[in-house]
Amino acid sequence: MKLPLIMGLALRSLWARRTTALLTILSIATAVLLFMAVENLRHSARASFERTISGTDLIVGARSSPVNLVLYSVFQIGDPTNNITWETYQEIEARPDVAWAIPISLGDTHRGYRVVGTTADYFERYKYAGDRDIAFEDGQAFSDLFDTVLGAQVARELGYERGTALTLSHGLGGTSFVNHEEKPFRVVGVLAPTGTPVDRSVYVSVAAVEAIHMGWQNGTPTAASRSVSQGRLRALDLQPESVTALLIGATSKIQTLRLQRDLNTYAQEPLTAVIPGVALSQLWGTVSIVERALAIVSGFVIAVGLIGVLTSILTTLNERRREMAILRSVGARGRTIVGLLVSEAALIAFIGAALGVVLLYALMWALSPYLEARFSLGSVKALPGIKDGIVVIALTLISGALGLIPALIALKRSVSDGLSTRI
Amino acid sequence: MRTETVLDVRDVTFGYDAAETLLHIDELKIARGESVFLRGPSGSGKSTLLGLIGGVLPPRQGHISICGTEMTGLSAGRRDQMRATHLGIIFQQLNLLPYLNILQNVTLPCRFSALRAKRAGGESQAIAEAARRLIGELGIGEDFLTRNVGTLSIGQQQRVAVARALIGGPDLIIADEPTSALDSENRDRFIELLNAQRKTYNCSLLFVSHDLSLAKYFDRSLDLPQLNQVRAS
Repeated sequence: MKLPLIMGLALRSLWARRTTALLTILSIATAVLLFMAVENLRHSARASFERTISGTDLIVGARSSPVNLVLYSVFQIGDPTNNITWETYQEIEARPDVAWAIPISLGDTHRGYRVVGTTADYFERYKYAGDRDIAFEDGQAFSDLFDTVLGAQVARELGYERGTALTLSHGLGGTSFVNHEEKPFRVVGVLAPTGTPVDRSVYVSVAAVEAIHMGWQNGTPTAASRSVSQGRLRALDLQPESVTALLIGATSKIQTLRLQRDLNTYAQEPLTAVIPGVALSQLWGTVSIVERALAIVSGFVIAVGLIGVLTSILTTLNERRREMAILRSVGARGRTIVGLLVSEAALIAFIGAALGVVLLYALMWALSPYLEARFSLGSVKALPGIKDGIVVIALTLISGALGLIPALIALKRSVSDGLSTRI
Repeated sequence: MRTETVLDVRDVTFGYDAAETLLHIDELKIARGESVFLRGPSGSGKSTLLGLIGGVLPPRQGHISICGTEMTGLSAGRRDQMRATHLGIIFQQLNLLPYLNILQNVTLPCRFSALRAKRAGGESQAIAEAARRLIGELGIGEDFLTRNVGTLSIGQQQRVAVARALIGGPDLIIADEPTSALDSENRDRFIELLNAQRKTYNCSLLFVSHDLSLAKYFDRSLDLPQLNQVRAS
């Protein structure tokens, strides 16, 4: 088959019908853009989700399901089932196979953002997105009992900065009727954006959590608790009775499974120890129905685009009978007619898909700083890769195959029309 | 001197289904250089006959040979090749592909037949030169060559179609009602020009029309309804 001749004719024929061809190309480009954007965001979201926490070998909490433990300790969703005693924390931290253990104490909020009681080591040990450290955009970790560090989103949304005074509310719900108004905190640090739940957290020391609840009974403040001044609390050695969860780093990665088993069978109190990566995968499995739904919808968008190509060629077939008769009269074989229409379908898909990829990367390039900062979607590629090429080629081939339908109709008509130029 | 037969149709029958025969031609011969007028009113089987001669439609029985090559035994692809090499076809009107310019339209047959390309000069530049010469001889200025088809009048388009039919020296020109869209003055000039060119290039001509008054321009005149044994009976 004279491929250059057929491709040349197909290109010129498309150019002659450039308005409809352009619209079809744009529909394919939009379909590909949507499909690949969803695919890219799906993979980025998954990668980002799985990289919410790294560098931590185990998360330990009171006995509950691994997914629930990860949800409340990392994603700050849901409520902890129980606490871990401070003695247990100390015993675990003292184990030779534990390199470090960071307590996390939950139970308070500030204007809907959860307060995380922890130690200054948290900012050193907590890693995300592979091996990235939490960085301070401004200030430093807390040193005073009533110092607080804000996640990037908290500071941005509430307009807080270093030196801002704030008070905490009791309870994990969005609305609280019990506030720690008599014990305000001062912002000493603001974290850089991470795209993780860290951005939506207010950090205080575990001692501060103990301090603001000093003298409380049955989860409510007493007159005595209100009368304790901040200066007096600073002078006390405040050791919590319990914490909500622990982030643990093992001395040896090989020992992690054994350590997990030991903690899951801990005799003193019922604990659950989970490997974050495993728990995150389980958690993703529960939310991946959305991911699959997105993939199906974007697949349908592509199918609609391809049907558009087919429709645009089929609708012009009748008015192109004369063109086919002229081509036949100058010696075009049946396969040339078929090749011409298949080439047109393939060319529309190729140009549309390539345009879609270019638009996608232009869009990604333009939006990547925002996506990175806001959602930590850091896997946006700078240049199209093999996968993009495969999508373009696959669409071209599928569209070419669909082009066989109008091509065979045109061939049949060209035979019945013979050498007469009917309209 | 022995006369070479360019087209030989013998005992050909055709029907789209086995139950009905639409066309039955006992004999139709055209010699090299001969011009034949075939009167064919609408519904007389003219398109079917042209489809059979062009090799697009296979006959149910009988023989069609072009320049001594039997068409009926050939595959569809070989028949297409025979058409590309030996036939030049001019339609009633709108002969040209709208997305090609004048030069590209005229040289199109050379893209489908290596023999016609060779006869026209072989190289693409020589083919283009042959096209320029033909268009010039047909009274179309060289400045038209790269123009869009839509900028030409119907008469000019028909002359471009003649140039396309003649390029590469085909053996037989089939003209299917090529003057029906022209006024009488342009019609006469067109036929004279076509005849002059076919003589220059020693092509045979099968001119099909319903207008019997045109018969005087041709060596011989035939009547398709009489030629077709199905209609005649």
